[in-house]
Amino acid sequence: MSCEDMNNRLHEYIDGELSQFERAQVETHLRRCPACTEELRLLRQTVALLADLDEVDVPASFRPQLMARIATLPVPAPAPIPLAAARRARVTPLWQRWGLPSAAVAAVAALVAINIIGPMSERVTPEHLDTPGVAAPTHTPPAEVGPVPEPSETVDITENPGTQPEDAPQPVVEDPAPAQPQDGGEPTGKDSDPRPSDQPANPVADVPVNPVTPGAPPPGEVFQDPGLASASARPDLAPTGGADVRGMGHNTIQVTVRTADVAQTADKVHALANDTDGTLVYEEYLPDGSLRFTFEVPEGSERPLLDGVAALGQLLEQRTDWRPLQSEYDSLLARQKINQDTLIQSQADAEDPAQPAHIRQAARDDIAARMRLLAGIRQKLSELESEDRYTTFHLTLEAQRQ
Amino acid sequence: MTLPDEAEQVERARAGDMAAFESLVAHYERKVLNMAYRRIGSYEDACDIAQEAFVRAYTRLGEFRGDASFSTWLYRIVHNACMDEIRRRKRQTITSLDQPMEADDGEMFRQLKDEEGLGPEQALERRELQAEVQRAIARLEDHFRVVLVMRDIQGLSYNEIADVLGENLGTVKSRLNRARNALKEQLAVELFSPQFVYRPRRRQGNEL
Repeated sequence: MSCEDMNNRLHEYIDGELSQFERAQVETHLRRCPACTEELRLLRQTVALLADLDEVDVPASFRPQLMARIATLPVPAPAPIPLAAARRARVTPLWQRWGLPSAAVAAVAALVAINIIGPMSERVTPEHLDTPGVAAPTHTPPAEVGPVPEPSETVDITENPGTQPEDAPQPVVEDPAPAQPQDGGEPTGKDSDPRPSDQPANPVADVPVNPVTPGAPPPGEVFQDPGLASASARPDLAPTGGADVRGMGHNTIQVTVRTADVAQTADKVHALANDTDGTLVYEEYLPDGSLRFTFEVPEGSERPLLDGVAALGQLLEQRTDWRPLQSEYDSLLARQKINQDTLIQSQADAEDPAQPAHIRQAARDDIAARMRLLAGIRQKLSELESEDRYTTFHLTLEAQRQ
Repeated sequence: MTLPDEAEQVERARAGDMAAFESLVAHYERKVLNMAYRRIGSYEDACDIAQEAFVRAYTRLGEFRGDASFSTWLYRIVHNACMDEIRRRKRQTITSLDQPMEADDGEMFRQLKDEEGLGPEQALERRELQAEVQRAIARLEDHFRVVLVMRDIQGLSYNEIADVLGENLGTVKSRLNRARNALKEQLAVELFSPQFVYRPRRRQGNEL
């Protein structure tokens, strides 16, 4: 080993970063090379000088100042993941790639899943959710800039679990033949509101779409859907202008329909997309051969789609999930406010010639970071508003063996 | 040397627990401040950088994924805050990096306990030596200085430094070697002459 090689090795040698073999090599060289031995001594001295440098103390005011500054900042949150991207991803028309291989399947069950995002500002309670199993929002709240809100509103769901069925029709759909819309397909028919007028705040009376409670269907009835008929009523959709108790939220309705011919049914679904305000954004075959569609429908325009789905065949299941958005929205608004205020302060500091240069630079850095943060917050706010205004409608056709 | 319940403290701080974040600050503030001080050479600026680094760390806590250790993640923020300061200085040409950065403003803030047991002359000699070392560090180019500070003053491993700087291991080793060699040359004339025998009293590493 040359002395030049040695110098590089000496640094690793004193840092203990060499293997045993390499150490032996170095030590062998050192034993017969006074120059490298002297070099090692100098290097050790140098490193020792550095290690021996006194540390500076942290000023007593450091932490109080820092914590006071941090107290004004919003709570840290997971890095923003643009919801728009997630929504676009969902739009991918898988059926275009997969083709329609199951079209030849003789008997098919159509599983219709309908998500409704309503104008939650007009809703009162999560009355759509009347079973605990459905109550817990199945969505993980998107990992966005905002703090994850506790879905505390879902507590309401378990209230009065048994009060809803009596005021709604009980369509038993067993025939794949198209059924007529239950109540004329009124988009948001206020007048068909089954809710007794003397129970304006009954959280369950106006269930628009009713989940199939496990074990609930009476014997002999394949499907009991008191909610579908009342869905047209959607009293919660009626502009009341009244108190907004429940706030914004995301409603998900899932309906399973059995039908004889999946290809024919799929055509009907496509026709539904054309004939209603629903936009078909996603279509895919599931591993069991069922075909699942996703629609998005403007708030208040769900009824024709609901009725059309009900006419596709035998309803097997229908359920609704509701995910509150209000607390997340409010939290984002609060964060936006805090950050806007801080931004104004930073902008003032950045332009203030009386401030020391490093403060002004820190202010400029803060402005840049805060602008990005605010952009993320604004995007998330608009996503939540969009979720609140639009109904997402999932439809899956499931193959059934005869 | 990480906090025993560091992951939990980070998680709680992320949820807005000020006490948890303060415990992290309490654990790292000294290292962060000294890292910035040796890098920048000004005590005042180092305090500002350390503040800024902790504020950035807090606001970005949501981005901390735990794939690096918290200290590595934090030191990277400190490193970037130092880079910002250095860029600012370059722009404003207040301090040329080619010229020595003065170390004197940190003098009064240093621990004095290392000087206990030393006579007045020895204490003065020690302080002068330390100032000389700091001046030598300040004369290094920053990308050499940062590696030297992290390894020989802060005691980070080669791998940790590579993680903090986002450089590969070879680059870190090469810069460290060059930084030490340069420092050794600068200090050799004054410090390693036979009449100046210095015996380090605090040592790190098995080989020293």
